[in-house]
Amino acid sequence: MSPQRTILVIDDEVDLRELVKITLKVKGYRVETAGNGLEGLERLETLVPDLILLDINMPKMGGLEFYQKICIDGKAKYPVLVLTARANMEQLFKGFHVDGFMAKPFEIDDLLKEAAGIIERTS
Amino acid sequence: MELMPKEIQVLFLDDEESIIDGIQRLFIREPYDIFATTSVAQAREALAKYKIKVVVSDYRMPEISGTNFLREVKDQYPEMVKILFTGYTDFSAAEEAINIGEVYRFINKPWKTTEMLSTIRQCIEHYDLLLKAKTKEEELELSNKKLTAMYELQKEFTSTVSHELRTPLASIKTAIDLVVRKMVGDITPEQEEVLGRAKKNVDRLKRLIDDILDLTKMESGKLQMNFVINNLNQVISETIDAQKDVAASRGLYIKLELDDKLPPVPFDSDRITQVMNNLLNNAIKFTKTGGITISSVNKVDSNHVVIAVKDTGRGIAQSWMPKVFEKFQQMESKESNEEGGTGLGLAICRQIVERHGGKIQVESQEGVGTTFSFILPIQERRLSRV
Repeated sequence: MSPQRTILVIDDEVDLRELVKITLKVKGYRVETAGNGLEGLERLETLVPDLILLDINMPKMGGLEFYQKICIDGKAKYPVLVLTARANMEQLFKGFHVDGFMAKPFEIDDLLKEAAGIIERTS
Repeated sequence: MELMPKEIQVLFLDDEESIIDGIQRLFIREPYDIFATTSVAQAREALAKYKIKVVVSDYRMPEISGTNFLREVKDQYPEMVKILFTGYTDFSAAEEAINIGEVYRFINKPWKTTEMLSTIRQCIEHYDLLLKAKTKEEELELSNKKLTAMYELQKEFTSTVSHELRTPLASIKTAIDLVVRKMVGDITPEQEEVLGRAKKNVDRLKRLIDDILDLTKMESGKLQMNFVINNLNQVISETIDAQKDVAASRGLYIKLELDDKLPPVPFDSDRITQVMNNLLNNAIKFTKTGGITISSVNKVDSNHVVIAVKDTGRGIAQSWMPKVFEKFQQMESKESNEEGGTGLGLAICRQIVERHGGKIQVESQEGVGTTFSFILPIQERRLSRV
């Protein structure tokens, strides 16, 4: 049996955050949440996630800044899947090594597939 | 009655007092005033002080040559009209004055009063016209700038609105999907049907937001296209593979008639896939019996390829034909359970094809079927815009 994987969901939209949490928990993941980049950094003090689901537009600290903060030598310390309602995200992240992008709204299946795929590739 | 002082519009520089005196008297009846002097220093002061339109300078002066003085004027006040005032018929002086001082006219000494007055008048007119043209040009530039700013604002607005709409929609969609997929417990068939209808409409709303954003970008020419030489037949086949099952589930055949001698064509494969998906969706939606034939043809003589999607559906009424590529023009679907369209699909298709330098058209006969076809030019070599 594979060990339980941990996913950190960082999104300021509480409804979506909780729904994504339910979706992932149903599929057996351990899920932690944060409401913005700053909270996300706090979680990372005690948590080593297998994947971070990252929103972009958030108060206090947005996804882009958070991403830069967890980078060492241009590479993020954890796998990151960017989840955003903004168009052309790929442009903004050009030059970064993000593991995946997903536009909101998304299909549950696509999200689960992408998340599982990234975790498998990076673990 | 107090007379309004006349505006000083003309400057005369000549080292001979007698000429300056004569000139002073000459312009008394003119609607403008002149400033005439023998001193270069005074002339420079006048240039700075008054709104001078025309500068007339003698050629041979002890302090400075006429050419050099006029060059000085040209450098500092490029809009002023310059005249050389000379008693010599000296071609090299004339040439020098034109080349270096950008002299507009010459006035010969001795002068004729009428000629002098009309020359100065013409020069003032010339100045006024240039000024007017310049003002117009500046106005145009300003309104261009305003338009660009407005356009940027609108683009920003559209993308903000689409972001703001997508965010709550994502929560609604995920919530409904979680229940419909029974991931949070069992539901009754009735509950499933009710939520299924909600889900269908959420998906439709999502497509509508995507389409509006796409079309806005395309119409403003701001959609980045990625033209790459690619295998068109392969892209067509892949689109069809993805939709084969839908057609089969409705008992429709899908026939492929692809020209295997298709030349390499530069195109944006994501966008052409979008076109093919839209055309195929429509064909499946409006065809009850029979099926759909997709073809590609290499038209060597006209340097383009033709892609066609032909169905045996209900066809389009003649009165509808001119409107099919317009926004939000939807044919009523007779099937009540049909997946609703956005009314933007064909408008998007047209934009995409036209951005490729191609053309899209429709032929239809009611009760017989419809053929949508588009051409893509072979020889167009387009680089992706950065």
